[in-house]
Amino acid sequence: MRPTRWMPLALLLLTPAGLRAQNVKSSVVLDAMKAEMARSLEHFKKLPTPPYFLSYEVLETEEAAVTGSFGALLRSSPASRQRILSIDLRVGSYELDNTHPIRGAAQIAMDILNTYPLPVDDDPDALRAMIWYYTDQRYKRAVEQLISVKTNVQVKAAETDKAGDFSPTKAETYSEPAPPPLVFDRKLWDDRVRKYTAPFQRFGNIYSARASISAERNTHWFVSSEGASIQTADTAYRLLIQAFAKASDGMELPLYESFYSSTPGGLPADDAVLEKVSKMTKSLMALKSAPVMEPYVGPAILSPRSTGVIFHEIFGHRIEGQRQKREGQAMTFRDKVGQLVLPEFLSVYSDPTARMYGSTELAGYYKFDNQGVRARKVTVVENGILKNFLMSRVPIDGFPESNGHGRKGPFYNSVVGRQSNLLVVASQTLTPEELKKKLIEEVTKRKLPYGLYFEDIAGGFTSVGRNEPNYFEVIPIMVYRIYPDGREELVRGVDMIGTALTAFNKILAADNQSAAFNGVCGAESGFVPVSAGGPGLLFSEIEVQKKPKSQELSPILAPPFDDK
Amino acid sequence: MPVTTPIFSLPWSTPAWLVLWAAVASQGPIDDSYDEIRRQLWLATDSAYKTALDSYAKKKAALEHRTRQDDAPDFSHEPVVNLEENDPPAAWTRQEAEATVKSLSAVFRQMPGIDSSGVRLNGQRWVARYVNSEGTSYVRRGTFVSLQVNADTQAVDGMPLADYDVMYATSMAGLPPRDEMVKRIRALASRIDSLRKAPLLERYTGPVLFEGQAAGELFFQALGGALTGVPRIVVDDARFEGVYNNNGGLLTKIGTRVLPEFLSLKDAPASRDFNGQPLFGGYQVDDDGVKAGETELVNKGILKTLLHTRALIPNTTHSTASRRGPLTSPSNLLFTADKPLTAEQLKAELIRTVKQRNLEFGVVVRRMSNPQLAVNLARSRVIVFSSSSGPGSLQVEPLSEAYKVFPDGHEEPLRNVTITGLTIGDFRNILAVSAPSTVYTAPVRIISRVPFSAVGFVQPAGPQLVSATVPSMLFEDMSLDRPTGDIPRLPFSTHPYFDK
Repeated sequence: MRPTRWMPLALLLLTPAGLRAQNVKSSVVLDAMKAEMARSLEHFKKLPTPPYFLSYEVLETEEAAVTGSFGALLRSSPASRQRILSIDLRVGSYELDNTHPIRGAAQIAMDILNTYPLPVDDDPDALRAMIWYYTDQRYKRAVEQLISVKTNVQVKAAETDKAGDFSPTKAETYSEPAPPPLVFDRKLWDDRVRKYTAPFQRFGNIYSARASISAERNTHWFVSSEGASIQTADTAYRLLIQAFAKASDGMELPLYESFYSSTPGGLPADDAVLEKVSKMTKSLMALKSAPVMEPYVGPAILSPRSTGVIFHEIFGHRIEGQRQKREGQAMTFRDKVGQLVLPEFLSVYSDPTARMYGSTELAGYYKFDNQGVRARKVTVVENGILKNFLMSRVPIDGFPESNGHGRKGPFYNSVVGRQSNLLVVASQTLTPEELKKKLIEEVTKRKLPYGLYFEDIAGGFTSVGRNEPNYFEVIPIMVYRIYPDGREELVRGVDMIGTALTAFNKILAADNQSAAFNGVCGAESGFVPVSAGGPGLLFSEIEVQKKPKSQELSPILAPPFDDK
Repeated sequence: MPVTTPIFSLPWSTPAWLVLWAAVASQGPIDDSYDEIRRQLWLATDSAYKTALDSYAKKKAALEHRTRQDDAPDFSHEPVVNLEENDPPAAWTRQEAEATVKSLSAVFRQMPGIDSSGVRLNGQRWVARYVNSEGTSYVRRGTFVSLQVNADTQAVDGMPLADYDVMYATSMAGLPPRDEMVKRIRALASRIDSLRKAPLLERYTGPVLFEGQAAGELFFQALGGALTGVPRIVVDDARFEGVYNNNGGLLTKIGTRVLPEFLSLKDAPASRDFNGQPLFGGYQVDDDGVKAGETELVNKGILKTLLHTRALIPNTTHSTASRRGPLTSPSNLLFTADKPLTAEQLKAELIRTVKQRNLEFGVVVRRMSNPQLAVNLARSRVIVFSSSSGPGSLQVEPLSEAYKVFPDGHEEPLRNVTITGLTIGDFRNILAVSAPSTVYTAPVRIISRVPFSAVGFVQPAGPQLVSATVPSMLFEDMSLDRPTGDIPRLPFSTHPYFDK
């Protein structure tokens, strides 16, 4: 692909969005979806078990990505496009339908991961033929499922939650122009990933250093038997730099920097990236010689970015609607609405309509969720009191409607309540210096040698079922000991662990800073982009355990360029 | 499964670094960056050396207290080879490929009997470079194009019917001309369509004639992978002996008869064509850098040896140049038949056997599905399972084109036929064959893996295909049956395109 061909497209971006012509091609897909839906519903009418609800969702993704390693190109491919169809076909009724969980049986993977490729050409005949073919398969499966559901409900104990399986919603009609063309200058990008990873070459003991730039251009079409007709569009540009070094005891020390923007111009310029790279190499070298941290429990400060991640894990996943419904779920907060669940100075919002958090663009932004429900800001906790859950169209007792949080990743079929942009807001704050002072007070009061400061975190995971302890684990990458005299010392080799309810009781204070973490969240409905942000927090107690460690020693020979 | 799935969130593709250490050896840069290639080789070598030391120590420790019966050396001496192949011209363009699949798949717009179809074109251009400490080096290059057409529908009783056609070439220009491809697609579609009303076969045991493609595919599935041998691995925990050394296959059959005495077979990786038809399984040197030659596998029915790599099997001294990626694989399998019959004579022989045994009819098979190529024919494979078989019998794919042959010579189509109770021994009882005249090319499933002598060798150089010149084969006795699984219902509505 000649890069020059893409130049005018880049210029087009400068035109205001309103002036861009609506993409005529896109409606071909929507029209084919509508036509085939109407025809299917007409045929279904004649059957003994007609569906009471049917929706089609088509996601078109055009993506391009390049990856470099130590100054050389590892992968680079031209932009490619694909379309994926998801079908939600329900037989039975809003109260009880084929999607009702069957207790005592494992869910069949085919029912969860069940999406279908569609032609990328705007050819209505080809599109409709595939939609017909897959609808037929889904219908047969749905009828089969409903029979199992009805039997299961009769032979098992009564369920805690009496709300039905699906809630009606307003049929939305919305259409926005096709997303701006993908800005992908392959040659330029190839050069950028080479440039970003070249500085790592100088360090023989950095064993992996990669930079990837990716661009994604998505169009979403949604139609339902209730009359919804939605077309939305978005673009996403990402830059990820990751590297790892090894300590002399074999421990792998990873670091990364990631950037997200909805526009190519929103990614940082070369100078800024190279500055980050230089900081990464310095941090890696510092980590290599940092002392190994021992298991510890004591006061700790979480940086604002770290707060986002820990709230996402220990709190965010427990306020997802279906977690208060399914019998195997821990239902931590089911009966806590109206009660104090966090310190009074904290409020928590899930706001998919928020684009920015300070100067950070949020990845959890969307206009409609995957069930055609308009996105809205949800106040989850106000002054410490639990107010609401993140609802998909699966209702729960007391929360009969969706609030626009029904989400799923590509290739997944089932939609559940998921997080979007989880924002923690503090009404009383301290300066970072005051927060550190308070930490030292705690340390001194409890006669501990030091407290901890978590500066950066890579991610985490948590368990929300009843069959296992409700632990969480967060993977920090930059952790410091803070001594009573105020001295800070970088340490390595620990993971943060704990259980959810205990952790909430340990929050003492928040600072007046804020930062957001953009990431991908994986759960039962696949991987979705999310953000989480908040202030720095002081916990009276955080527990850390030793990190799993590689048993591989450093290479026997020195790096080849040392021989020159 | 919300109950057991731990929920986790990680930044963009962060899990990648968890596997980076392992992947270092397998993914090199696509830039010609001398420093980066050296750096990756350095790490891969270090990892390979540590792995080798570890397994060598384990092996020596295990042999301290055992007497080994298999005394084949671990690695053969081979002559030094230096080879550099020329860069082939580009084999395809994206525009050309897209235009081809679009126009070919449009043929199905005239085929109302087909529910779903797809045309898939794959093009690749590859280069493999190799050096070893003995001085052998190669640069091998190639291009390859494959075009597969899939079609599926349901018979009048709902039973799934699916089939494919596949074409291979080294470039787009090497594929059949467009009008021939269209003709083949029409033939595929009408073959499936005509089977929709064809009767099912109720349990049959008797003579079966496998012609052309069906003979090739049956041989590939039953014996193709079994013609390879791997050495016995020294397993340090004897309880797992059976797990690691479960691929003896035909090793114990060497020196005995596996085919009728009028059939001989050789593996010929150096051959490029057969009577002007291209062979796709060949190469000048294998992935170990061993020069391709010719290996006599079966002489007048007697199994002589098995294909192997530099990891020797008993009673061998040299590699048969059969390494392709992590596998030992046949390349080009060339049959020779002593007393070949013509196609007409074979059919006459089938009828003679039918009459002799007072059967109502015999069966001729013209197409058989390939397990790897049929992967995309999802519907039929998921829903209808083939019949169960007896102990020691081979699981083979269903037959996609078969006919009853009556004593007067007329034929009637059959659908959804499966083979039951097939064993390797059935090949000894082949009554007669034709002269091998056509080349059949397909992927062959090989279960046994060569023990790794080093990190790497993950990707084979070029497409993993086997070509064969297989004769049509008349089997004395074979059991056929209809599928026994549940049958899906017909679609609840008609195809939208043909609903006008």
